[in-house]
Amino acid sequence: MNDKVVIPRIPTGISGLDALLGGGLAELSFNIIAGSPGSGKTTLAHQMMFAMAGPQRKALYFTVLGEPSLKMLRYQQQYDFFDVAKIDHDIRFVNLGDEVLQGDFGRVLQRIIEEVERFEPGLVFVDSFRSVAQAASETGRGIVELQHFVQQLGMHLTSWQATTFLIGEYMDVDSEANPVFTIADGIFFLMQSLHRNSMVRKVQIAKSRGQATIAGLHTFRITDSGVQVFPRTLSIARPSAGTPAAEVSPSRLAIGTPLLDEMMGGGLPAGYSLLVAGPSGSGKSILATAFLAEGARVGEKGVVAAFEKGPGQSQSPRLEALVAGGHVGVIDTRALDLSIDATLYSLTELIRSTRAKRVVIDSLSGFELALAPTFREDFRESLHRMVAVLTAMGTTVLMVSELEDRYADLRFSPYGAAFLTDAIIVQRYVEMQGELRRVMAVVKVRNSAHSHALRFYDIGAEGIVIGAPRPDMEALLTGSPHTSVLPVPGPQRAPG
Amino acid sequence: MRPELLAHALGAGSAEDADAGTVATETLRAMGALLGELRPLVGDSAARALYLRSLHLAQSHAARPVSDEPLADLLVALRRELAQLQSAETRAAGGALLSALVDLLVSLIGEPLTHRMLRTAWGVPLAQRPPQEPHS
Repeated sequence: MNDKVVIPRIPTGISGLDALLGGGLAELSFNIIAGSPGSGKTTLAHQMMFAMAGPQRKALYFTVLGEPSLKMLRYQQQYDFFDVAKIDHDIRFVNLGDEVLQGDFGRVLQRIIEEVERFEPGLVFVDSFRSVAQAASETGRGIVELQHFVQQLGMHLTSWQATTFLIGEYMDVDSEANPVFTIADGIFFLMQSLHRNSMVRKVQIAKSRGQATIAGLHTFRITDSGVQVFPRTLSIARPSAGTPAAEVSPSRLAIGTPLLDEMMGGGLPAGYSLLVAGPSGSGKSILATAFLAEGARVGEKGVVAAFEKGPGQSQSPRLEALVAGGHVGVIDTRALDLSIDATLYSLTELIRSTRAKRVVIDSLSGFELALAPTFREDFRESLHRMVAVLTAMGTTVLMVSELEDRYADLRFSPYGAAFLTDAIIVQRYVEMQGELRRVMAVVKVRNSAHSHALRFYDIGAEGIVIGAPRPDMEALLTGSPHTSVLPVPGPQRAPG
Repeated sequence: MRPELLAHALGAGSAEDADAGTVATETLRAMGALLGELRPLVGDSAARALYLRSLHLAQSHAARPVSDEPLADLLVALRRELAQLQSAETRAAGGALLSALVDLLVSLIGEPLTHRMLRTAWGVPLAQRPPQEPHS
């Protein structure tokens, strides 16, 4: 018989945070929200409080010597989550400044207990707890007494069945605040770092008793809506073979460019990632748009992360029509200091809401430039994670990669993304009879036969028009091909 | 602050025929109730600071603290001084002081939160709204 105690999880109301916590906040836990000034501790605490508090779970928010209460209320009510209707009934603010100033832990504890007995909250916040600790050191009271106080506080509040948060300006989880951190069941560590001109916020669940969390640092943003966390990994199950989505999805997707499906051995396998690499002007975005348009034609929704042009800026008329027709969703990529996790979160949310099957990232170069500098260092690893998550969701991903034409070597991506993807199409310029001509080849389709031919192509009003194979031509990849016998014919239109 | 809200706060002290003592007592009761709501929220020293700021804004000649006189003593002194005035003057001074505190709170934490405090402190019904938030 399994008679283990069940620890209920309380949804925190913060997007992404519950995933980090393994499903939510452990009820009756004793937590610390730590971080440097301005890292978002009070905002995080308020947002959780307003989300979790209600008639059945009231909240007491003790303010100490940190931010003055009136200022805190003045600024916190600017956030969307601040619900004035909950004040007094479900949420009550109490100032402990006078008790703390006297440095008498017993009196502070007594006041907290009195207020808790009177209001009977299910949630208790003490902000800033660091002020209590500092008052202890200034009055000559030792760390032992502080530890005793924290133990007593934890014991009383757990007895009163209150989930508790101590909020404090702790810069380091490991050192100075050990006595407090030892007692805590959970530690939320918030940090913000400046790298060149960009500022990035990250959160770490440094400790969480009795529940599995997602380890590591996770980026978060603070907007008018409050805190939004972007978990570094997303647990997404692959769709099973028996799901309706899997049944209606073809094993191969038509890519929307005539003859290219044939070159790929019958289309792009569903759930694959495809890298389209080529120099500027070679038609990568046109190919990507055709991929989305073909999806729209067969009733498959698409999502595009366009880093070359932001939403509202002029896209290609064809893509604009797809977006306007509701066939393709566009994620906003204009935020400053973007992180891969924030982009991935936006993509997965839009894929879920639209049930999209096709995803385009245009381009990796633009994506890298949109990222805060600190995230560029891990771009390759992050790309790997992103591709894994998107394909695990059952989408087929087309990524565009800007490629400098180098005739001395054959490269597909400056990010080493080639090995991360299941298929590769490469586009190049070649010089022919005093003109620049374009050639394209399918380099790789994992576990599939495909054409190895280099094909000339043109870009016309209807998109990419691929010509016939030219086995008579040599040295195409040197940039200066030549024919052995026959003259070069013009491109051929695809049948049908 | 609107006249009807002030009348509600002053209770019997708002009557035309109320004597200065009654007006002063009711003013102190209203002020004490509102400060009583504020004290747990902001602490004693912040409540005292808000009271002193209200005195300044109302251009009241009521007693200023000589040192760190407690808020309770300041309120006793305020009552004594208000009671020495003519009843109309007491009503005007008390009203100005209460209005100043309410307006100050509205400017700091906004109308909805201030109204929540007035509901508890003065028993202001839901329909009776405090003054509009001042425009900067």
